[in-house]
Amino acid sequence: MINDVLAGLTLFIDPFSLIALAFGVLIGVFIGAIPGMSTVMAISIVLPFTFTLEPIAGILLLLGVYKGGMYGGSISAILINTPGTPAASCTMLDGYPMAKQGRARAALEMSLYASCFGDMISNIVLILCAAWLASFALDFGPPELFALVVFALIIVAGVAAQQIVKGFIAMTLGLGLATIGRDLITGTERFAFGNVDLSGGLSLVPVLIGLFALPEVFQIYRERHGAPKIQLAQIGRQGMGLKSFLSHWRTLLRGSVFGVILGVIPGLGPTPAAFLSYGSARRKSKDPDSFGKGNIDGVAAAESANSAVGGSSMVPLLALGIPGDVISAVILGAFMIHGLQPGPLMFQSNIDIIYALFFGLIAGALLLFLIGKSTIPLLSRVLNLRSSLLLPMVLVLCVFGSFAVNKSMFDVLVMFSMGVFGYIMVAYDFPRAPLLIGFVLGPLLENNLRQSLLMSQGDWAFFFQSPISLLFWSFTLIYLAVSVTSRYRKSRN
Amino acid sequence: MKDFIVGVVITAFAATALLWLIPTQVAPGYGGGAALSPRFWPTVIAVVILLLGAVLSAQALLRLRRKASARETRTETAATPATAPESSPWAVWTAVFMLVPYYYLSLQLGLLLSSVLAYVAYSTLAGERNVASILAFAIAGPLVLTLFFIIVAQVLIPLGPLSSIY
Repeated sequence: MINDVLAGLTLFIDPFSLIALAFGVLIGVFIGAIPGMSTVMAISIVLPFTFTLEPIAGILLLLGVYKGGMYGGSISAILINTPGTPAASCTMLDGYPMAKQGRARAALEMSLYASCFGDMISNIVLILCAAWLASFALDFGPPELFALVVFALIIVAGVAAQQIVKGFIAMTLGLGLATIGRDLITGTERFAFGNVDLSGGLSLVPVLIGLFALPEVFQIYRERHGAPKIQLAQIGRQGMGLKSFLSHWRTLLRGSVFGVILGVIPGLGPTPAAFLSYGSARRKSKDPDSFGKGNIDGVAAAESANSAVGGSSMVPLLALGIPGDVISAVILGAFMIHGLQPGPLMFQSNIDIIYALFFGLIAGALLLFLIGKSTIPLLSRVLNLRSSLLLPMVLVLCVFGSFAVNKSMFDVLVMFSMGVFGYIMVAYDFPRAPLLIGFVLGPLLENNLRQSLLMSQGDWAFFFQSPISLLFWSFTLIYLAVSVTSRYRKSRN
Repeated sequence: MKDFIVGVVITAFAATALLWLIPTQVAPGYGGGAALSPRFWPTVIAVVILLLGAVLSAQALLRLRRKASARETRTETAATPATAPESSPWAVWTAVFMLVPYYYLSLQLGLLLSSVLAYVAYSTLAGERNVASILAFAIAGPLVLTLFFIIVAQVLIPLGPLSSIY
């Protein structure tokens, strides 16, 4: 084993691999921070460049982009209320209010430190527990996944809304939007109205951009007093010291655990982990009412969880050859391009590459800290622009970003439509995050429901047979009961 | 009152989906039980939205009744009306409707030229009066984005009449 570790270290400390990793983190932070450009897009752009690189350098480049993108998505979420990734929509709940209060630097630094913390915990767990976590993931079949996703959606709808009914309505509308396109099993069109573009369904990026970016652009016109010098939230000077950061260790550790456990389950992605961690932090907080109004624990909970998913989502990829999300699927493609087949055999035939990747993941967390810290002062220069100059540029960027996903003007139309819809939601106090999460998880939910019914030949009791399913149904009922009761008591007081 | 109307609208939308949208836009499945039909999941969602819309309306109605009965028992005092923040609804609607020409100009002129024009329009509407800044950003921003997507991201941006250049 020592020889394997040393062989992995030798592969990793190649200067070219380190440069590729650093470059990947830098690209990921930069692209993730731009509204309209997602981590998936960043990885897709970078993938062709990996063809000519050595396997380790190529894969570390992609992993660096992934890590940087997860943090980068929170930058735009905090500064202009537009998440760069769906998971960052949870960071936005408290990050943006903090920025409006002049505490943007503290929010950004907590986001960065929490990302690095969660990432490091996840990497260590990956290295120590890959085999055990893979067997845990194998226990999740369609009924278990269905119960888990229902639980995650209930949490999201509950934490993101002042009125729980509005949260559920938004979430269900998101589920409904996800049905547009083709039925997963029969292939028949749903709500396409004979339109070829609609029969392909709605893409995530235009929906995400439209829902979150455009309402912010419209907001400056709503609040316009005829004064052109409306300033956006300043970065501020007050940062976050080490002692202050460590005082949130419980939230950070809890978030990391959520991220590690949920990251292992294929298909979930970082978003449910972020929201579950956020909901948990709020419940355990001495001041739960301050969540959603600039509580730094909210940022810590969301970011530690969504970054902790990164390392553990590599577990099903490396141990089983099953990609956990879109990004892992792209990384799987990179492995295969270099003649490597992730899975149990890889731990025997290419163990040195596995260890090199482990070292790369740990180094990536450190590089993320260094690169992320250095970008914060640069961001203040961008934000010193007047909103009358900056936000129209955001609109233009969103148009380009929406077009670039599928090279289709239809996506730009979707983005505009969702923008108007998002603005109406804001005007009527409906939260947008549950709609987005419902849209993202809708296909997974439907797929697992119908697969379960196929397996059980229509027997609904199948959803309540396994201990894991029963555990998540219990969590769901308990959460609903506690949530409804506490809101009822609050309204009476 | 706002929530009550929104709840009614949502309930009406869900009812429309159940009675018209789903039967006309989703073909029924063949065999395998109702739960495996392509209509099943949209129907479940529509029923849930209908129920939630009704709950929202009911909650809003209860709140209105509670406020009304609280007003009856409270002694009326002259209240200073809260000053509403200045807002420009016409500016918002203009910004929203400007998306339509932006989209159609993109189809005709390409993304670069239409974005330049859109930037000038939106920036002016937002109250920016520094013409030099508007023009500088209007040209530089879309141009940089176009070059980035074409050269770095290898995404062919529609350029309309400028497509002969690249």
